[in-house]
Order: sequence, then C-alpha cells, then structure tokens
Amino acid sequence: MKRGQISLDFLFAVTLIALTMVNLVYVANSERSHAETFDTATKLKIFSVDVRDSLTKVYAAGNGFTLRKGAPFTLQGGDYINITLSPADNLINVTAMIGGETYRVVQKSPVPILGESSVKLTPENPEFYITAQYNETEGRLYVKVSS
Amino acid sequence: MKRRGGCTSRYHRRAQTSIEALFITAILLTGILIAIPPYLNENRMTSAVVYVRNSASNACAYLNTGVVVNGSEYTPVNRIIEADNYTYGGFQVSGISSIESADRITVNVRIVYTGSELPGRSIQGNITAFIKNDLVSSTNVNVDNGKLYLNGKELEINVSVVRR
Repeated sequence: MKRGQISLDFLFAVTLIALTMVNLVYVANSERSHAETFDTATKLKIFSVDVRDSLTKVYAAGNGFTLRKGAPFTLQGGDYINITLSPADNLINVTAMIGGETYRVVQKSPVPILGESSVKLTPENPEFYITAQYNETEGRLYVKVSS
Repeated sequence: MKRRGGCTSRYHRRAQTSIEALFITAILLTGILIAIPPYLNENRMTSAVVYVRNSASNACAYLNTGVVVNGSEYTPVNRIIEADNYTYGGFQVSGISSIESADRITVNVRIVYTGSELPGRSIQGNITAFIKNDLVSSTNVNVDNGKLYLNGKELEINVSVVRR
C-alpha cells in the first residue's frame, strides 16, 4: 500500500514536470527554427558589408587594382549568391538562394558606382573579383564585379 | 473457535486498512485538485509571456539584421525593412508586462528603436502580425476567428513601438 501511495504522488509530480517540459520544448523549437534562418541571414549581412568595404578599398587603390573574394560559406547544389552593383541609386544588391529560401540584402555604396555589373556565385564557381578601371575618355574610375 | 476468531479479526483489520488507504487517497486527490489548477494557470501565464517575449525579440533581431528572407512568415517584417531602406534600425524589446483577467491574458510589449522615423501605426501592426504568426506556427497557441487562444484562454497582444 505504501508503495502505491508513493507512486500516486510521484505520478502527479511527473505529470506537472512533463507539462513544464512540453512548454520548454515549444520555446526551444521556436528558437531553433529562427536560429537557422538567422544564421544564414547574419552571414549574408556580414558578406554584404565586406563587399561594400572591399569596393571602397578597391576604389581607393585606383586603376587596375583587383581583389579576389569568395563566398562566405560553402554553397550546396542549387544555392547561389548574386551580387549586383546598380548605378541608379548607388546600391550593392546581394540576393541569395540558400536551401530553397531567398535572401536579399542591400548596402549603400560609399563610392560612386558608374556602371552596372553583376556576378553570380555558384557551388562550382564560388569566387569573384572586384576591379577598378579608369576610363580615360570620361576621366572617371569604374568599380566592377566579375567572375 | 479460537482459529475462527483469529480469522474474523484478520478480515476486520484488512477492511480497516483499506478504508484508511481510501481516506489517504482521498486526501491526496483533494490536495492534488487544489494544487493543480493554480499550477496550470501559472504555467499558462508564464508560457504566454515567454512565448510573446521570444517572438518579439526574434522580430527585433530580424529587423536589425536587415536581410529580407522570402518566406510568408516574414512578410510583415520585410515590409518594415523595405520601408527602412535596409538600414539598421536598432530595434529592441524594452519591456513586457502582462495582465490576467477571468477570460483573457493581455501581454503588452514595448519596443524601442533608434533608426530613422517610421510610420508608427503600420510598424506596430506589422510586428504584431509577425508575433501572432510566429506564436501560431511554433507554439501551442492556436487561432480562432482571428483571436489567439492559449490552452482555452484568450491571448491578447499589444505592441507599442516608440522611437527613442
């Protein structure tokens, strides 16, 4: 009888603890799903800032200077990162398709972007170049991305 | 005779013990009945606050990252990022409070940001929409006729966004 009594108490205690645990699992689950997206998003954000800074560096170094950059993480099949320099509003657009989801981040370029250029990073081709080119006739310095 | 008497006494004792056991069980059950509802209530209240706080801070982290992810759950917050021209907004949860009444739990979230001025009404609506979607998709909060319910009790979320 004594044993039975203990197990009854115990059972209820376990039920209450289990309830708390279920709540914890819900919280953990929601955190995890966000953390996964957040991880890639943060890496891309850092990458876009890196591209912006490299662009400035290349512009400052002047004609003929080339910088080689790589993708911020290993790309899997079907993933790509697209970098576009758009002269219209002086923006650096980074659009990426990672694991079936598209990410988009925009940075304002501190140096003038005169010509539009674009590069697509794929698992086979994860590297690209940032080049400064002086245009003699216009007397202006172009910065470009190319693969 | 002696043997028979012994037998009766044993039966008698056995019956007595089982009544004792019944009493003890009754007391235990009463205790449990008294203890469980407040526990569940407190549990629900705590989870409501924790869930809302988590979702709100996720929304802030997402807004601060400034990367648009193309998913239906992020549509409301993407609008804020696009309206803000992908700049850093410095969003953070500055306070959370909860009020419980007989039929509903009200959770008030206060978010402050330091970035450029954004239209207050739409930003509040968008963050509220994100929190609601997030609660429904990743916790045991369910939605009925546009209202949120957590274990049978209505959950109301008020978001106020202030620029500091």
